[in-house]
Amino acid sequence: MSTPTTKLQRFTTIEIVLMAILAMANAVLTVFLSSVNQFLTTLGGPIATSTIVGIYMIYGVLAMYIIRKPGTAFITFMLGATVQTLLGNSYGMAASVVAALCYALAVELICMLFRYRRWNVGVMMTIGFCAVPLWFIFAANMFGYLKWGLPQLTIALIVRCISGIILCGWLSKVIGDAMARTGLLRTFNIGRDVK
Amino acid sequence: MHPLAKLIAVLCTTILVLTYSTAMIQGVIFLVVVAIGLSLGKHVRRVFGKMARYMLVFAIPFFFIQWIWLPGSTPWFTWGPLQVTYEALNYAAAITFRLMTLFLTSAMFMATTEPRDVVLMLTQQLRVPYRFAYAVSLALRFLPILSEEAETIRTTHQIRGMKPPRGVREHVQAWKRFSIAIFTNSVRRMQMTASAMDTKGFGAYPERTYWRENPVSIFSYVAMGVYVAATAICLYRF
Repeated sequence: MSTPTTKLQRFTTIEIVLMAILAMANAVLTVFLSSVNQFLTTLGGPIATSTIVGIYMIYGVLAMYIIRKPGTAFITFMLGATVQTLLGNSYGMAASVVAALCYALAVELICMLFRYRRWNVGVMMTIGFCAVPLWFIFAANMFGYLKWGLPQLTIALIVRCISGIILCGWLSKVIGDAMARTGLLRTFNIGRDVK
Repeated sequence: MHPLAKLIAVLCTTILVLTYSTAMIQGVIFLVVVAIGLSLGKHVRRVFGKMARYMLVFAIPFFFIQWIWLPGSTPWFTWGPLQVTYEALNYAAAITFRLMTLFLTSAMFMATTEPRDVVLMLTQQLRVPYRFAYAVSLALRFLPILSEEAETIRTTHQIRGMKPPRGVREHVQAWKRFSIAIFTNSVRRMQMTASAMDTKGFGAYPERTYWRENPVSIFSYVAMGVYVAATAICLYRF
């Protein structure tokens, strides 16, 4: 029986470095997105901000698409949350950590359903779609969305799901495939699967 | 104070702000956090100054949007189809205070803690495997390196005679060229870093030794006890 330590040893150093770089890239992107988010909040309230939700999740899903090992999404999202906290973001530590846990849980569950073997566009879009609702429930409690009317909540959830499908699931696939085509990702599972 | 004690303080504050939804209580918590922050010294006060401008830009529109969007039963004023209620005012103020408190507590943690100490806390106190805890410092170390690299690429493009892009199409093309260069350089750097780490035996053993230990002091233990007890009392009494 494998212990947690041996399970974690499955990740090579280069995979850990990739996760770290993606977490760092996400932290930078989040700082940039926070001003976009504020602009959207002022422009169209909660529904307008929902349009870019998918971008917040892309780093973990992209890591999973490249590395293709159980636990990748969890580790990458948690790294992202920690780095975000240390660099500072506009939602605070609790929101970063809870969001990361929600995204990681959904992504790992869907990948587990497909046994970490199927990575077509449909699966990636499903991952993007499923990553949204759990964090939406927590965010609704945390940021007071629960007091909005049911129509607004439903529209916001639908917009977020569409954003998750396109900006997270589909875009991860596009970026991952473009990266794999350069041949620089030969050492990762995506490079081996492309062969 | 040890980062673990500060983490517990942030956690306790988070629990409190997420429990209550009235403007009065949220306002009191916010003021307490501001008072603690101001008492922490010049560095935190400077961070607070920067954050205050940022918060005003963020919090004021957020407050008004919430106030207008939220439903309520006691009208304060009506302007055409728009009705603004007292309930909406109370809830909008509560949520805005909540967000500002969450933001400020994280900012205080960030301003008073060395990232290196957070990594040590993750491995020594929270028992996170060191290979992954180290990835946090790796990510933070990559940030200035990659920013420098981005600047080099931008300068190289300029030296090679690339004109500043005009229009959407040229901007997209320029962005594509720039991101491909960043990507290839990042992957090369990633491979070099990983090889160097492997060569030095990173991850070869399940446990590692530390040049610097960061044990939790008695003061930090007492502080943690005080935070937890104060939170429990607040939750019980209010």
